[in-house]
Amino acid sequence: MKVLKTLWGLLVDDGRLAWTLVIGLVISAVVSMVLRLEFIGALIIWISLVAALIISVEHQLKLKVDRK
Amino acid sequence: MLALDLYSAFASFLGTSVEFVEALTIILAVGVTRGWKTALTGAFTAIVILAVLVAGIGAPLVQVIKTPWVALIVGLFMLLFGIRWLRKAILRYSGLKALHDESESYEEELERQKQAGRTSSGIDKFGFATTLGVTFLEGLEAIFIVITIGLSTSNMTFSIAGAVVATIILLIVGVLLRSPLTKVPENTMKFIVGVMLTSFGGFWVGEGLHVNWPQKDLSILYIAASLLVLSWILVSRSKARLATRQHQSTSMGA
Repeated sequence: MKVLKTLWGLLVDDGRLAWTLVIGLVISAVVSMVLRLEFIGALIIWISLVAALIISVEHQLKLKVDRK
Repeated sequence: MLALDLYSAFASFLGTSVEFVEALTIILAVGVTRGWKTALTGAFTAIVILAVLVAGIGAPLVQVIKTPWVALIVGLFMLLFGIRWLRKAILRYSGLKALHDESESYEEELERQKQAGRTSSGIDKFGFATTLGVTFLEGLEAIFIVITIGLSTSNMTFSIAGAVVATIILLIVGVLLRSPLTKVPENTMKFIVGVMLTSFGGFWVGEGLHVNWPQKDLSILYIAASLLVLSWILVSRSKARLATRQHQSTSMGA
């Protein structure tokens, strides 16, 4: 139970980061396993990692700048 | 015949070295950030499980090893764990989070999770699961290499000998690197671990989803390199924006 709680903590710590990743991985799974475009699937995972970090950090930056 | 024996041992040595270097990197990183007892217990547990599997199943284990679910679950776990650390390290380098600000709710949550993850024996559950996962996965791949080379050259003894030599050399490297790594600042270490876990995790999730990584394992390095460049851009941009905003606030106040 503690493990599940902590895993949930990983997800809710930053919803933007988690959801960008999850959506990217789901799209990658569909593209790779259903459409059989395995290389595009790899690219989508890589782009998801980059996009998740950009969205999360930019949001924090916006909050900080608006607050000042 | 001797040439084939040596070839078998050398091929096994090289193949298993690559896998063990990957595992050793994560074990060292977890050891520095979450404690050596945790890191080594996780790795040792995985070795015991692998030993039982090899003793129980033997050569047919090659057929069992190709399990994408293992890569998917371990990869997802490492990815979530790693990208969270990476994000936090970027925010700290940027000045968006204080380097040590225990009053932040984020830190409180992290501390709560840390406490929840520790047992009375001092083992950190997530550190344990990370080193167990990485050692198990890389160990499985190493076993696959040893068995495949041993069967194809009809010389299992030399194939295993090559793997044993690789293991001994990497254990010595691990012991030698342990002390210098503890001198690295905490945020820097968490940043490095974040990059490594995110790149390894992303790669393994991809393996679980049957994507086609260009140049296979080398993609881990490409992902890590892109994360380093991205982090540098995000930190530079955030610092510049914060400095501009600070300058504007000062001008308006004067």
